[in-house]
Amino acid sequence: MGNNIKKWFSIGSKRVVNESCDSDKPCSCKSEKTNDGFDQVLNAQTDRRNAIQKLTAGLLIGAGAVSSSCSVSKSDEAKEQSDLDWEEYFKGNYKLMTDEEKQNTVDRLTRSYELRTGKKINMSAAGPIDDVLYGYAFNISKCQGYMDCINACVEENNQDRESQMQYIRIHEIEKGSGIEFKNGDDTYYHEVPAANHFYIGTQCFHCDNPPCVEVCPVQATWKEKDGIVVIDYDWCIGCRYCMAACPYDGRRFNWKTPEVPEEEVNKNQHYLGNRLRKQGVMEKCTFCIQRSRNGKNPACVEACPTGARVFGNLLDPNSDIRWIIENKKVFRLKEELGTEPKFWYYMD
Amino acid sequence: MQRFLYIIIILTTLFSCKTEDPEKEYGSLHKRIEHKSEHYKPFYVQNNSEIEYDTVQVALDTVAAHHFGIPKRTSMVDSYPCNKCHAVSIDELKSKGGNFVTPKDKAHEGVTAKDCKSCHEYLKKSHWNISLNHADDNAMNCATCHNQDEMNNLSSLTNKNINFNNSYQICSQCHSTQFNEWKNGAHGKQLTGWGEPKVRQTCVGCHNPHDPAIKHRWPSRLNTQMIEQRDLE
Ligand code: SF4
Ligand code: SF4
Repeated sequence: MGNNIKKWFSIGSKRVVNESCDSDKPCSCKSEKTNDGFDQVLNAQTDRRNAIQKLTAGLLIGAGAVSSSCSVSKSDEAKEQSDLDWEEYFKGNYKLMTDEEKQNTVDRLTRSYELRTGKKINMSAAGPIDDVLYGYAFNISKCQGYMDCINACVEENNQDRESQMQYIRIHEIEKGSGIEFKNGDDTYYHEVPAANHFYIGTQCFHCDNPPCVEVCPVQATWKEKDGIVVIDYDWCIGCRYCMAACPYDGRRFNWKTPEVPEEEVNKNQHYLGNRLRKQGVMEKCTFCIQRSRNGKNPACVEACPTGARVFGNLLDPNSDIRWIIENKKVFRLKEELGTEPKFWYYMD
Repeated sequence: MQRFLYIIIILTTLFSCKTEDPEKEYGSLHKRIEHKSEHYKPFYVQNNSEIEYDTVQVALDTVAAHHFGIPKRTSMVDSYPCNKCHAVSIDELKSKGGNFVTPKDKAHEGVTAKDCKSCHEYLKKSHWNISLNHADDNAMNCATCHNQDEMNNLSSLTNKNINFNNSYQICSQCHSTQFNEWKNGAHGKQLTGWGEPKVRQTCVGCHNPHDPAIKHRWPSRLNTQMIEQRDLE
């Protein structure tokens, strides 16, 4: 097998190493975890594996990719792009990747963006920090309904501008009618705070026991060690089961390819966070994973002019969030469901 | 045969315990948080350049027992230090018949040309826009917070000097509930991030001390798509 061909059928650098063991016998040097792409899909280890791979690959690959990769007339960049697309197409579930594979896919996506737009982005594959469990508190008395948080979120997370996708909703509810979202209005436009009304924000609550994760048929969404519920946009098949399972209206579906004006693209990205998504996948609040794993607060917390939003590490006994949970009268939405959202509401 | 059955039962119980999510063993989120935070080590933000915050402006003194920094106020007050203009006390000025304040006096005795700017840059407009809309006349006037004899300082209710950088000590004299919530993190705003070092906005960072109420205004966006979709339903 020539080096070139080997590259064609290898997904990630791990594979090239693994090819070195005798492919006629079942290969014992791989564990399921380190396998990527096909191996995850066809995790049965038969000696016909290679044959199946080549066959399926041959069927699946678009004629375009073949011609641009093999043709001498195509530019190097086009070839590189189709190589990248090819490897991206057959990569595995992010959740099961090794750190190296994670870095590889991030590098590919960064390079691919550069080839397409000529602009550089900075994408991270940073994992959870030890001894950290993120939590959020929202002060209902303080929120004035300004919606500055939503604007900040849209900009930070590269949400589609045209469809006005927004992860956060601020509900205006009349005082005296309890916290009944069906009586609320999240598209108000008048001077705020309106007399006799209060404001309450919702977004993904990063449940500790997330029903959305349970229902995903392909495990494209899961809870990370630091408590953030994430989605692998490249593994999601867009079935929207999770959207139906979420009791909090936390998830949003991309009906169209998100479009962000080039100059407004937030180039500081994370694979599981605000990188530019595709059409037909699920997205939602990730507690600004690209910021929070860097020690920063989510964009909404930073943008809120009233200080109604508090973010912190639940495992830090001296954190603001811990003091609030332990000393204020806090509640969470639909606590009886046992979803254990890590999003507490409190009042002055 | 029976022995075989026993072994199977023991094995199944063993394995069913093994496959349980280790996080579930705590029973509830709160118990897990409690237990896991026993060995907590503070997380320091490694890449400080990531933080869009001018660390020079962070006062490094911390509120006793609550370790967080606060932004410096003096560098944000345009005409600080106040004694650039207010060289003499208000009483002295009044006795001289001056209804405005200069470092020397109106006659400009002994003032050299290079001194002009020390007042005139600010003089024309100083304080014209300040009207006090904070409590009522019985409870508060300028002198409640400003030290009239030494304008560079604020003054406590018992006439002790308080530095402008520690203005929260002025506010907390009356707003003790808010102060308690602020120092613990339930009121106010975190500035740098959730990690160490923690920096928190002070009272005057959000509230104009002369007019502290948070104002009414329009929301910063209107989602027309959402309205359209709801209308279609
Ligand atoms: S709020 Fe909804 S989307 Fe977020 S973790 Fe909970 S169930 Fe999942
Ligand atoms: S929409 Fe995507 S993330 Fe949600 S359940 Fe389906 S595959 Fe999983």
